[in-house]
Amino acid sequence: MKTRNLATRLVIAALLVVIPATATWATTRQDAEAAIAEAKTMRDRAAAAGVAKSEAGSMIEEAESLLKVRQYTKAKMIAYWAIRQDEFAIDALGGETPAEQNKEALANAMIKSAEAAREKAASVGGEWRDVGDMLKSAKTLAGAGDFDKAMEVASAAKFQAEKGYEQAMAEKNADFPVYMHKAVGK
Amino acid sequence: MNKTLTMLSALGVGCLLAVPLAFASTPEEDQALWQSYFEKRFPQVPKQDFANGVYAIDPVGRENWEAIEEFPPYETAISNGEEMWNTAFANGKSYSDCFPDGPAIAGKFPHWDKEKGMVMTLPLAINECRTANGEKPLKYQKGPIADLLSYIEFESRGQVINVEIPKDDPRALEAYEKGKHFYFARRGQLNFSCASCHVGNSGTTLRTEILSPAFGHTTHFPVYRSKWGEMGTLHRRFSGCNKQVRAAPFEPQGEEYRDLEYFMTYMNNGLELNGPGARK
Repeated sequence: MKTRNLATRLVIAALLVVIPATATWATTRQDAEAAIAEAKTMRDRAAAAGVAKSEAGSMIEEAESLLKVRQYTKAKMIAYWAIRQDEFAIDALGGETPAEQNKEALANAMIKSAEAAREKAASVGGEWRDVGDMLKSAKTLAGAGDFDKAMEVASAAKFQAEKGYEQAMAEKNADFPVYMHKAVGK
Repeated sequence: MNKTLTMLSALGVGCLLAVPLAFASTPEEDQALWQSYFEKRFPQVPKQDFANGVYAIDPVGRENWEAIEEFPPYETAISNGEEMWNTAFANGKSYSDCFPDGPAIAGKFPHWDKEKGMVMTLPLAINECRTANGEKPLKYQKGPIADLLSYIEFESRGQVINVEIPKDDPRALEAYEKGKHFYFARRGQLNFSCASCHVGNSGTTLRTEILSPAFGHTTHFPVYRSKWGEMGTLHRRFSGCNKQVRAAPFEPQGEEYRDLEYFMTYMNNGLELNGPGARK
């Protein structure tokens, strides 16, 4: 009885600590809104600096749409990536990224190649689920200046797209399997 | 000698070309094989019971399902659908004008539309009715379309599935063959076909769930699926299954899924419609 009372009290004490503590790591709406506001400020700076083309605008819209469905962590993350897009674009305009230009070209070429592979797979109904998202991720990374990672992701997307095409071609003659015929004695 | 050689060569080529035709099966043969396979695999299940999906082969699940069916979660959808059916469009016309035999019309779909040269499904026909009368088309996976389909399917309960593949239009057979190919072709990063789970592994367990037999799959849609917490259509389920094997899903009511529905429903000929349904 004494042991049970002690156990109950320990559980209650633990809950009294753990439940409020969740507030310290959970993303609040205010956190997400602050991140979006910062992304908008960066967007204005980028536009003022002459950055005409940027993924940041659509990413800010995506983050704002997530507020309605309370996906604050994801909204904050997307706002962060929007900030990185414009930060890098401003640096590039200011000539602060000369060493990266070759890598940028390589990353863009890999993304283009992966996109072509995706279209080829889709033309035979063989596109895999994640290739589209991987390409989007590669473009985001390239837009943020992370060309090594962008190439890595684009390369993986291309691999999956090629496998999807091979699979669809290998399955061209798919039909009732032999085991069905055998099961009914044919 | 030359003439003999030529004749023999022609005969050889002719035989080679005829081989695939010799092994090609007709839809009737496919259907007989399909239904025999499942009847042999699950000999304890009366034929009509296949329309109850996994609950035909899972006694514990069936007990839970029968309890749920006492107060079915799709009842509200049926009421909403009935209201939609009886509400006139802005131009004064209604669904009855497009479907004078309605609302018990589910047994007529899917069918081959010779004029349009495509498989016509019920959701597609509903949206054609709407757009012809100046209304916005409904989205195909969930929401109001599922409510309207629930009402129509409820009114159509008991109708016997009798999909035809007209012999006077080879395009209909082509659509059937495309649907059949889709069913048996492996796809996605996990390299599964529909048959991988619902034919060869039907009745076995995937994680905690028993895989339902494919025979009877199309009889009871739309369904209230507990996982969705709402109603959803057959093409929503197709899309989900494709995503689960990590294949990119196709457009709901696009050619691929309509042809697939055509094949699957033809395989179910003889079963009675029993939608809408409740599933896990």
